[in-house]
Amino acid sequence: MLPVSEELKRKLEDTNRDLRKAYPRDVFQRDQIRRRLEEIGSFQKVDKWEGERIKEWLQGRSLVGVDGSVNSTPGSHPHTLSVFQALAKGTTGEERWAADLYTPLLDSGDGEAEGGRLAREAKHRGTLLASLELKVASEAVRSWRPRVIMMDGSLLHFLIDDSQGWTRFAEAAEQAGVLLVGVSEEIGTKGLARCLFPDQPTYSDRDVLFGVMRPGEVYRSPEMDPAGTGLWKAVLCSSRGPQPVGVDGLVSQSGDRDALIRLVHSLTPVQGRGIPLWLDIVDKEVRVTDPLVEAMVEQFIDPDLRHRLLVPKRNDRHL
Amino acid sequence: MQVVGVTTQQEVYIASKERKFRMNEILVIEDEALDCPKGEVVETMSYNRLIPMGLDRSVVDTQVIQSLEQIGYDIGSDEVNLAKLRLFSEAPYPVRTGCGVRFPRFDEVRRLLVKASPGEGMALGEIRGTEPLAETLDPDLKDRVHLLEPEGIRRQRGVPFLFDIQSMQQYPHIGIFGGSGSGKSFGLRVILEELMNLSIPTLVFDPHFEMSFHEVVPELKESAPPFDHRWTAVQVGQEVGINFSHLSTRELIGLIGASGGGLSEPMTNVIQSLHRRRDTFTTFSDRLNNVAQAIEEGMQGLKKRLREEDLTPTEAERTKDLMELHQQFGSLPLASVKGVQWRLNRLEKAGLFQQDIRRIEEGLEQGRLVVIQGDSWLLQVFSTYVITSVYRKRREYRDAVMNGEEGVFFPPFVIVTDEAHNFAPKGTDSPPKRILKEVAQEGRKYGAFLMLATQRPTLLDETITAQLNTKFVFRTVRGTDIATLREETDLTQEEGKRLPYLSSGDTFVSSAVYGRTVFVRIRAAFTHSPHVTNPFDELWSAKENQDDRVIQTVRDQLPLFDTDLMEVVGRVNRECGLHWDVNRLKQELERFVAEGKIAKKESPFVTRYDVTD
Repeated sequence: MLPVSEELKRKLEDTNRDLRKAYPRDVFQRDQIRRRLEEIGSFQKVDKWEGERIKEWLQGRSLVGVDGSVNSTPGSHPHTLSVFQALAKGTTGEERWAADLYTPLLDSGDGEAEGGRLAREAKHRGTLLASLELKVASEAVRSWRPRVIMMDGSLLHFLIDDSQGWTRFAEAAEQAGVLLVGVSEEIGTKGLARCLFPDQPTYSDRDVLFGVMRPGEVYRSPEMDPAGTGLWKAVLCSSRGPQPVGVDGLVSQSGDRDALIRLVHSLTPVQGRGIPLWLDIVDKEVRVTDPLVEAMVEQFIDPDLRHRLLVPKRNDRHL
Repeated sequence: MQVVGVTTQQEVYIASKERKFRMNEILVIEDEALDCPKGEVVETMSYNRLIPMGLDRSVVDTQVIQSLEQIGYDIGSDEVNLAKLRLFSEAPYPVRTGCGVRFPRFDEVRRLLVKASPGEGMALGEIRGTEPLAETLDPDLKDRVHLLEPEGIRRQRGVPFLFDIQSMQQYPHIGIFGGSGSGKSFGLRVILEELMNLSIPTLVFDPHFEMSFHEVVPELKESAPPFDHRWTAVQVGQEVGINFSHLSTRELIGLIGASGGGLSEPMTNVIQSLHRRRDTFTTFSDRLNNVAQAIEEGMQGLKKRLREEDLTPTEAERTKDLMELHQQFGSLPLASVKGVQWRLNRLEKAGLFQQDIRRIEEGLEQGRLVVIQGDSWLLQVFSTYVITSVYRKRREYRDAVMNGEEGVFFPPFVIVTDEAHNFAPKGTDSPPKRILKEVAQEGRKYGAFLMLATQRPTLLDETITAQLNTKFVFRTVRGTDIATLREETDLTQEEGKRLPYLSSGDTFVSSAVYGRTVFVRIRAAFTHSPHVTNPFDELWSAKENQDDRVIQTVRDQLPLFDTDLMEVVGRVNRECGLHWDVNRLKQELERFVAEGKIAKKESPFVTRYDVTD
């Protein structure tokens, strides 16, 4: 038995009750939600392609996966150093890497309030990573002209994090005839939830879609498409997990929408978490792990600076 | 290739994406601070991080992998190869992680791999894992050996394993261990070929009658050196034997004891009482028989016989002799005298006393390999005598030289035997054990060397095992033997684990000369054993031969009625040298019919055999 205080237990029980009140069982009835979703959109079955068909469809060009990763030293603000890395990896062996570093210690955001500064930091990091990913993706378009570039995360977030870079990249891809598709494991939109439960502002699409779709199904609804962004969006249940993934692409390339969804579905392991294996492979390679950050800092930052600025006291804990 | 992970002063891990590591490969770690230490691969692994193993991870769909492969992704490129490298000598401090690793050039490792000059060493095989060194191999080491693989004979690809015969002065004895089919006898043959090549006097005890060097392997005819005048085979009781009159009483006791289950005290007493110096076999066995007769008849009986009237003078004389013997030896127990008699006769019947060991001594003096063949029990008796004699000769010569006298030269020699656990078993006694032990312990001083092969190292006398400074360990499956070998050699745990899985002809050479274990593939022998025909092939071919001859004989007389068989069987027996009766002939004819070799037509009255249509 774990030593848990009575108070904590009671609070957890209360929270559970409150959550149940906010998300009652009878509201999230699978069939009912499906019916209502069908009113504003449509479910379709997606078949998997055989390898031969994929090859045909790729027209002898390659598939490039793009992912990025960021990790920081474990100190508290501003005593951190963040390592950014992005990789575009093609299925025929091409690779393009980019890396960057950021530390608030060298960033003079003078006189700003602490709270605003933290938010700005976070945004800055997001922007940095997004631009790095867009950079390798752009280079991929330029140098290899693949058939498809598959981005880890929705395309929408690139637009939000680095709109200039995104616009340039999207145009280049359109011109070169390179299809873009984004796959996000978390669905962050709220459009469907608004339609279905207008009086429940906290509900999100993720909560609504949980367990509703059958494996191999895609759901499309105009309500989901983020207006004014030039993007379409779909929800795909590509594995046996109850949580579907989001897929988005360019409206200008929506002629290939079904094919792109099918491609994502074909490359996703049935038992996995719903992300195409190729993106997992890229993710695994690009991931900036804790030991990597630690090793690099140890190797390249002088010991006195390291200890003065970056090593938190909590590292010395030994209990 | 790069050093990865945690390193120690003895071992490091090496990773490579491009290359699969091979067991026993030699690699150089480019750690300048440690003067680029070298090591040997002792464990190899490969893994693919995309295809993990484990109960907690899901297995990636093969379908998805196939799809990715179809569109050009090579999943093999995500494979990582790992090897554990053991340093040849301990480093003063651990190797730096991240160091590059490369293949050595041959001149960097020659000292570790080659301990003899090619002309003087025994070229026994190829050192495993040295293929990457082939390019920089010194020319004098190229093409020294051929290797036998399942696909056939191939040329040398790595560094040859040269066993330094000179080093036997310091490390005199060799053990060869391995289960049946492990390549042990084959390895022994290769060693013997090399001994012949170097004209080293060698005594081989061959209970299996397999050590003949007449038949050269056809593929190696051109490279095989001529062995014709390098070896002699002799059979105990035919070409060689024991010169009885040279035997001392002690040797005779040993010999008679060896011929059957040891001697009791009274039996030893009988021999001590009856044997005289310079006795020939006849004088000794006559005396023994007479004493037996005298005791059997008893003093009373003999006296009575002497009183008989029709006694010729010769008979009287003989009876008096017997009485004298009775007086002298009458106290000996009759059963013991008979026991000695029986044992002596057994040796005599085997022809042991017909010849001497002159041929063997001559062979050794000529620098030949002398193969001594005989039944196992007889060889045990005879080897005791031969080894004792030649060892004494050698020792007398050396002692004389040491004392500044001029002795008669007798060459140093090597004693070789298979099934050594029968010659020097642990625990129990056996006739040659004492002399083998003596040679094992003191032979180095006199230039007498042992090469003992056995399948059961556990059963070999421990004092002797401990003296075997070089051990060839072939595939061994038995747990107790593996344990013994690990105790007696510097084989590591990993190497011990590999023992049951070694291919035939692969061997670990654990030698004080190298100071470590070397993994070697024994070369293809130039000659092969006379017992290479499979007994089942032999059975079938003999049967076919006989069938052909019988059918030939019968065919001339077809058509044949069952009433003619009486006459035919005589002819078949005569021409084919058989002893069949009519019934047997009928059975065989029926079989030929069944096999379609002749036809058979039956009518109500008679059966007719005829040629097939």
